[in-house]
Formats: sequence, structure tokens, C-alpha cells
Amino acid sequence: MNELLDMGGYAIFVWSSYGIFFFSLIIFFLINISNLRKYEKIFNKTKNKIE
Amino acid sequence: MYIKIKNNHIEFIKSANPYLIFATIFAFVIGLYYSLFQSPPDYIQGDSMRIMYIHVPSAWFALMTYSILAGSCVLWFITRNPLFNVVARSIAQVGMVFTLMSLITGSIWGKPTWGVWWVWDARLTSMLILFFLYIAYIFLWQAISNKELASKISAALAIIGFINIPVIKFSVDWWNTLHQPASISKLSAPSIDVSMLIPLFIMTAACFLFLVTVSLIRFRLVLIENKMLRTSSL
Amino acid sequence: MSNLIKRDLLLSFYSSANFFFTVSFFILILMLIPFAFGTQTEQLKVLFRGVVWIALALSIIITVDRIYNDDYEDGNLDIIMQKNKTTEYLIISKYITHWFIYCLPLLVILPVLSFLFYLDYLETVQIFINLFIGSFGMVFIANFVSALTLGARRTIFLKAIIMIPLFVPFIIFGSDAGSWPILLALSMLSFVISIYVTAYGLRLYGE
Repeated sequence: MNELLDMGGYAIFVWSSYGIFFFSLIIFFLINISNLRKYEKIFNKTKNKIE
Repeated sequence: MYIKIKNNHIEFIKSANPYLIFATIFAFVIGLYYSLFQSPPDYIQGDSMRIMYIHVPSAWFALMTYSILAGSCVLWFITRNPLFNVVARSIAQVGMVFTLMSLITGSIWGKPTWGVWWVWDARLTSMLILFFLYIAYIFLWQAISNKELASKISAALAIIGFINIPVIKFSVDWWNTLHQPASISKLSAPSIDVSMLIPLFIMTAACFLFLVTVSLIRFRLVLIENKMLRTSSL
Repeated sequence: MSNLIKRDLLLSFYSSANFFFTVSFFILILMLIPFAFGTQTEQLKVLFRGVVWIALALSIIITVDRIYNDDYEDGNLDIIMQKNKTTEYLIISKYITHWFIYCLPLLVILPVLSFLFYLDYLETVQIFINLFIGSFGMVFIANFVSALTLGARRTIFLKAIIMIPLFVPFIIFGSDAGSWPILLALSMLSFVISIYVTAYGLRLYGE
């Protein structure tokens, strides 16, 4: 396990790049999902008002 | 070639969404297992070349997304079908994220292999320019208040920016710079071992699934945005 | 077309940017080199070749708001476009005036400036040729960006973000001494793209 975490001396580079990559992908995904929910809510509200 | 988006299409996309999310997570888990545990370290670069498994797919999809973006803008101008504009607008931000990721991971990879975080060579610089092209496309649309006009203007800009894509693609071949040339360009005999090829392709598939998932979510978002703009309730 | 050119030149002379302002701008930008980088002769020579292009790019970037926006906002653009059926005349006259006001002053004072930065006669001629050819290309690019972003007001940074990537090839080949044929090709290419895109943008906003 320690060998894996060490990554042959390149631990900082490998883990930080993987971390940044997945962190920003997840954040980007969550932002879009929450925006979609928000817009759907507003849209349904206004649609009900028009009807 | 007029494709109209109907309600049942959107319903289908909506119902496919959880499966796509699940498939993306599954592919990323498999890809992580292969790229971190199962693949051997490179005999020159050691374990630092494991960054390749996220760097290369994100760079590929940065280029592919811009090609799709410019292509759908061209198709929009030709066919006048608003679907292509929606596609372009929903895919642009994913491409921006992939470009940024390829720049950051490439920079982190450059430190142990080249000894520096950043080199001003042709490929890196043109990739940086690609990032600014994405920013220009996205923010020009937001800056112009008349949204129909904004779509046309930013689409024209995206088409002009496409000049950059061949420059990025062939910059390593045209100018002999520090960045290594593509290892998998020749389909028959790639200059990379199979044990490294498998995690690379799994990660590529995972990134593709992510691209599809998020673009479909953004597709729905953009459609709602368009409807709201039409009824001016935004 | 000559009327349009005359009108633009007079307007700029009496209002915002006459010849002396632009010349002072270039001299002041280049004056910053010794302050920023020290006064070694060899270093100054190298820096001058690059910074002269940056000064040109800056003068085009900060004036991109003036090419079509004033005319668009006070309604003159519509009148001009209705009077001349071919929009291209308007565009070409704008190219000429924009180059005349914001690029020609640099070329005029270039011999003096390069004398101040210890460059010899031959090098000055090379820089002059490169600047003369490349500045046209940069003006073409600035024109179509200005026409496309007419609706986005007061977004000078966004326009700079759009323009600077397109300026990059000019600056790469411009700071290289013998590459004027490539610059000529780039300028011609940007002319072809620019005249279509500018006309497209102006028609979109003119409707």
C-alpha cells in the first residue's frame, strides 16, 4: 500500500494531478446539475403562472 | 435535414441520464484501477507517466469538442436548424473544462519530466490559445444582450477560431519542440505497449462518457434557457 | 468612399486621437522599456523588436471600441449603410482610416525610436517593413472583432481576449527579421476573412 502511495517518488505529482482532475470534473458536473434543477424550478413556476 | 426536438426526445434524454451517470462513474473506477494499479511504470519516466492516462484523453477531447463546436456552428449556418446552435452551446463549456484539465495535468507532468512547469513551445501555447477561444465563445454570448444575435456572432467567432485546431494537431510535427509527438497516431503499430494502451483507452471511454453525460445535461439546460428567453421570464 | 475617409479622419482629428496623441502614446510605451528592464545596450536592442509590436497591438486593442461603435450608437452607421449599397466600401474606408490614425504614427516615428534604441540602419528598415505589412493584418482583425462585438458594449477586456490569440501569428513572425513574405500572406488571409466577417456583422446589427 505504501508503495502505491509513494508512486516511485512521484507521489505529489501523480496524486495532485489526479485529484485536481477528478475534483474539477465533479464540481463542474454538480454545478450543471444544480443549474438545471434551478432553471427547471423557475421555468415550471412561470409556466404555471401563464396557465 | 430539419430535426425538430420534441418532448419525447427530452423525456428520453432525461430517462437516460441516471444510466449515463452510473456508466461514467463505473468507467472511471475501472480506469482508475487499471491506470494506478494494473499498468507498469514507464522505464524512463517511472510512475510519473501515469498522469498520461488523464492528460491525453482530456487533450483529445479538448480538440474533439472544439471540432464538434465549430462543425455544428457551420451546420447551423448552412441548415438554419437551431438544434445545432443548442448543441454548440451545450458542448462548449465541457470543452473548456477539458482544455483547462489538459493544461493543468500537463503542467504537473512537465515538472518531473522536463524539470519546469511550463515551456513556451508550440503545442502548449496553442493549447492555451484554445482555452481562450473557448472563453471568448462562452463569454461573448453572455456579453451581448440580444441572444439571437449573440448566438450568430459567437458561432462566427468559433468558426474563425477553428484555424487553431490543425496548428495544435501538427505543431509537434511541424516544429521539433520539447513536447513529445503523438504515440498512437499510427493505427497499425502504435509506439506504446499494450499494457499501457488498455488503461488509456478505458480512461478515454470514461472521459467520452463524461462528455456525453454533461453535454446532455447542458443540452436540457440550454433548451430551458432558450424557452425562458423566448417568454422573457429570465 | 473618399468622403467616408475624410469624415473619419476629421472626426478623429478634432475629437479623440489626433496624430500627436498617438505618437506620444507610442513614445511613452517604448520609454517604459529602459525603466522596466534596465539600460544595457544589447538587451535594449532585443527588447525593442518585441515591444514595438506590443505597443502596436496595444494601440489597436484600446481603440477597437471606436471603429464602429460611435457610428452605431448615434445611428450614423444605418444611414451610411443605406446610402451605399455595398457595405464593403464602408469597411475598406474604415480599414484605411483606422490604420492611418493608429498605426501610421508608429511607422513615422520608428526611425527616431530605433535610433534611440541603438539599432542600425538595416535593422530599422527590416522592422519598418515587417511593421508596415503586419499592421495592416492586425487592423483587419481588429475591424472584424469590432463589427462582431457591436452589441457587447464596454467589454474591452473581452475584445482583447478575442483579438490577442488572433494577433499571435503576426507577433511571432513580426519579431523575426526576414519573414515579411509570411506576414504578407497572413495579412492577405486576414483581409479575405475580415471583409466577409465584418460585412456579416454589420448587416446583422444593421437590420
